[in-house]
This record gives sequence, C-alpha cells and structure tokens, in this order.
Amino acid sequence: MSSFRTVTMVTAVLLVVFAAVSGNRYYLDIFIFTCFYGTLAVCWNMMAGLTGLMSLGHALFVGLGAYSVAWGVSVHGWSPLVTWPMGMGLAVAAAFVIGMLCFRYGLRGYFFAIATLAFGEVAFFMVSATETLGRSDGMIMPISSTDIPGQLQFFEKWPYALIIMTILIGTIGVGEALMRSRTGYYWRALRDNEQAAEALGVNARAFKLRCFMLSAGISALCGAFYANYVAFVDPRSVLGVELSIQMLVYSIVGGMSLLWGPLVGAAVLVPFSILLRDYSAMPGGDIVVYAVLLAVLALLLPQGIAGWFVSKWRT
Amino acid sequence: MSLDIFLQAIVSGLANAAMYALIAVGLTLVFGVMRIINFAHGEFLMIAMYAGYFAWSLLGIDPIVAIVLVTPVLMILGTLLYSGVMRFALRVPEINQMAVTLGLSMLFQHLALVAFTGDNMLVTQARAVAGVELGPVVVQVNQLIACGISMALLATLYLVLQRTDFGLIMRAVAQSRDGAALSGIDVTGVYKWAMAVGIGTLGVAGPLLVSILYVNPHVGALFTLKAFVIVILGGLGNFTGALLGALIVGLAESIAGAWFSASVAAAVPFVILILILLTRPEGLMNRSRRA
Repeated sequence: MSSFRTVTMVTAVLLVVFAAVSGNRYYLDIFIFTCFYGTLAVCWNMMAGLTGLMSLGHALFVGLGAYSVAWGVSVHGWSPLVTWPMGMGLAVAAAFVIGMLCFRYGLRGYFFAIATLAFGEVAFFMVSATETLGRSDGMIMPISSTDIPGQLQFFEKWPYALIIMTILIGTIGVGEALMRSRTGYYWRALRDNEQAAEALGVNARAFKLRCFMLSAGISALCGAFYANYVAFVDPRSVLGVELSIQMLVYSIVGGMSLLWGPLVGAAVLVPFSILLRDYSAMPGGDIVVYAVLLAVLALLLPQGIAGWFVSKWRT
Repeated sequence: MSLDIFLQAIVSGLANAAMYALIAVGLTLVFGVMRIINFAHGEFLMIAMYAGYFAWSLLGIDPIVAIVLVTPVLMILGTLLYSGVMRFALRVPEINQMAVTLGLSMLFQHLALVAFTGDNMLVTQARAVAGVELGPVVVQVNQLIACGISMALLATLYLVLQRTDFGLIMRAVAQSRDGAALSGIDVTGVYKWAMAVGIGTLGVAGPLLVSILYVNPHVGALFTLKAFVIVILGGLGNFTGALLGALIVGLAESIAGAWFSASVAAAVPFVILILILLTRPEGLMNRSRRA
C-alpha cells in the first residue's frame, strides 16, 4: 500500500465510525479514548516495532504534555497555544537527554526498557512530591459553564473527537512518509541488525535519537489533549507505568511490524475494556480478560492481529 | 538529622535489605538460567503473602510455621508457570516475552482484587508490636525474625549453588545452554527447577513479609520494580550481586526516607538504577564487557 492510501483508508474508517457514533455522547467518549490510546500506541511502536527500541517510560512524555497544560492553565491561565508547544518541547528535550545518555552507553533490549522505566518512575515520584503540581492528588483544571474555544473547553464532545482524529491521522501520515524515506529505512535497518547497519555507515545514535524524540513529541501532544479533554491530571493516570504498558499491550495485540498495527490493537481492546468495565458486575473483569488475551496473543500470534490479517490477505 | 535517627535508618535499612535480597535472588536465578525477565515475580510474592495471611487468619497458623506450607505451594506454582507459560515464551522474541509476563502480572493483580478485595491485610500478633532496644535503636521483633530466616536461607542457597552438583548443573546451563545440553544435562529439567527455586524463595519471603507489611493486590508490582533495580545493580543473573544490590537499595532507601519525603525516597532506587545503567550496565559484580 502506498503511504497515501494508508492515510486515506485510516481517515475514511475514522470518519465512518465518527459519523456512526457522533449522536451518542457515551460512544463518542469511547471513540475519543480509542483514538487517544491508538495514537500513543502508534508512536510507541514507531520506536519499538520499527526501530527496535522498547521503551517502558513513555508515560513520562505523556505526563510532560498533560502537566504542562494543567499547570499552565491553572497557575497562569495560559492558552493551549502556549502550553501544547511547551509540553511537546519539554518532552522532545527530555527524550534528547535520556536518549543521549542511553545510546551513548549502548543500552539495548531489556536494558533500554528498564532504563526508560526508571526515568518514568523517577518522574512519577517527583511529581507526586511536588506541591505546585498537586502532589499525588493531581490537578483539577478550571472549568467554566460556557464553552471557551480558546481554552479548548467545549460542552459537546465532537470538537474533541475532531482534534484527536487530526492528531491520529497526522501521526499516521508522518509515520508513513518517514517509513518510505531514508530515515525509515535506516530505522528498520537498525532494528534488524544494528552492527551491520553501522558498518554500512548509518549513524545509529543519531537515527535512534531522532525516532525517540519524534515519538516523545507525539506522546506529549496526546498528553496535552488528554489534559484538555478530561480537565484533570494526576500522576497515576498520566505518569504511571501502567500507561506505558498499555502502549505495549495495544502494539503486541495489534501487530508491531506495521505502522498502523497498534491502532488495530487499540480499536479492539479500548472499546472492549470500557464496555466490559461498565457492564460487567466483576470489578477489574476487563483487565482479567485483557491480560489473558495479551499473554495468549504474545505467545500464539507474535505478529499480532493486523500482521496476521495482512499475511493471510497477501497469500 | 540526629545521629540516633541515622543509626535507626541504617538498622531498618539492613533489615529491609535482607528481605529484598531474598526476593531478588529468585528473579536473578530465573533470569540467569532462562534469560527471561519475569515481570510477574512480585505477583507470586503477593500470592505468598496472601497465603501467609490466610493461614494465620483462617487457620491460626503462625507465619513462621506457615513458611513450611507456603513454600512447597509456591514451588509447585513455579513449575506450573514453567510448563504452562515460560516453556512457550522461550521461543518468541524478547518483547513478546515481556508482554507475556506483564500479562500474567496484570492477571494475578486483578484476580487478587476480585478474590480478596483491595483492602490492606496484615498479620497482627502480639509480637508485631514488640521491639528490641539496641542502644538508641529499636528493631521490631518480626523484622529480626524475618532478617534471620532470610539470611539463613540465602546462605543455604549460596552453598547449594556453589557446592553441590545441582548447583553446578544450574550454573552450567546459565553459562551456556547449548554446552550444557551437549554435556548431557537435561536443560528442560533445569529450567523447571530454576523456576521452582526462584518462585519457591518467595514462599519463604511472603509469610515473613506479611507480618511486617500490609498485603494488597498491588503490593507485588512495587517489589517487582525494586527487585529489578537490585538485580541490575548487582549484575543480572549474579547471585552475590543481588545480595550487594539489596544492601545498597535497602540502605539508600531508608536513609533517604529519614531525610526527605516518602515520595522522594521511593524515587531513590530508580535514580541509583539510572546511574548504574549509564556507568556500568553489566552491574557491579559481573565481569565488564569493556576492557
């Protein structure tokens, strides 16, 4: 599939689903969260599936985006036009520093995963200890009873759906374009065999860093969106290791060899777990099903749902 | 900070370190032999803690006696984990291995939440509030007991690994799986035993810990992370490294706790982890890959 076709198809599917659910606030909410987690999983997988860098600290970047917005608006009343770029800038800078350190010392595989996990946890505990960021109680953002478009405050949910859809389509578009550029080929070369790629003259550190920074920036964008949509952030929801693990779950279930694979994972699991959570009598029942699914799929279908589908379709 | 508080922090740090070491050696043993990081390690500790708690609350069994009952159960769980899951995980890529054990960890946490609710549970015997005064420092009796049993078990494990054929075989598989298989070692059997021993140590740690610390469904995740820090600090798969790592983490955490707020103290092990990964990723006790 050409990159243009992938983007068109994703856009078409999103628009159809959006049109179908836009009349119902509850379904629209599920749709928005599916897009949110889908975008996060796609940008996480740009690192893990396409460049071979497994991060377990991506919540750190989501948290930077979300807290920039929450802190900016509740302490200074700043507009999203300021806070969104600020969050992204901070996340890209953090990824640069963490990446420089990790790649300089050649951390790979489990070690890179655990190093990023450690950075994420340090941020989690630091925010939980910071008075101005509301400690572990989190921050409630000011809400008014009327719509304030300049602060991205709407009563209706469809503007939020349009925003997150734009972010998602943009992410897929950028990702597809990169996959067909020199950078994308270098990334996959690094994933498949770093030493061979380096021997052929690929600057491993620079290209890994580029991927990490891009992925972190998009994560922060999603985090900023989350803060504006939910109007409440706390360390557990935007900085916790659970969030980083969720990105991994959707990617594994959806399929890591394809850029849009994780989106499939999110599209299956997010609505499923929200519905199960709301309609089943068993507390935590959604996670039980989801955890079993994860373990079983990781063992039996290593290429994920999308990967399996594509391989069936091509033969 | 007064000297007394500092001494107290050191003594509690040492007591914690003994428990941490017991929890971490299981993780490092399994990694050393199978090259899989078990993200569900802490959940087995959680199961052992619940087992210890219910043995006391329902049957009136003292946690120290409960060890004898809980350990075999955990060893069996370990072998079941091998034959039910890990056996298959050996064949898939690293990231899928991580996903499998993460899935298990989530599964156990939420099953525990369903079965035992999210309430904190603690064994409260008369000796739970008893303390021993050593000059300016007070140590809980339960901490002393836990520390003593844990050190005894660690010493036994060390001797078994270093001095017996069983230990030799395990170390052989850890060094080279193919080499061991070529020498006629039943590698599958060794994997099973490594899981049994690695998870079995938690059967000792669990009942001891539940008389010091509350158990709830999420307690395992905390210990999994700490155990990671400890084993990486000492060097993945290295037994004595795990002991050293536990000592460092236990002490650093409790000294930081005396100085700063609890949240900052909780971040300290991770800061240490980052520093060690950046300066010596092979760990303190493993031979350096760089000359």
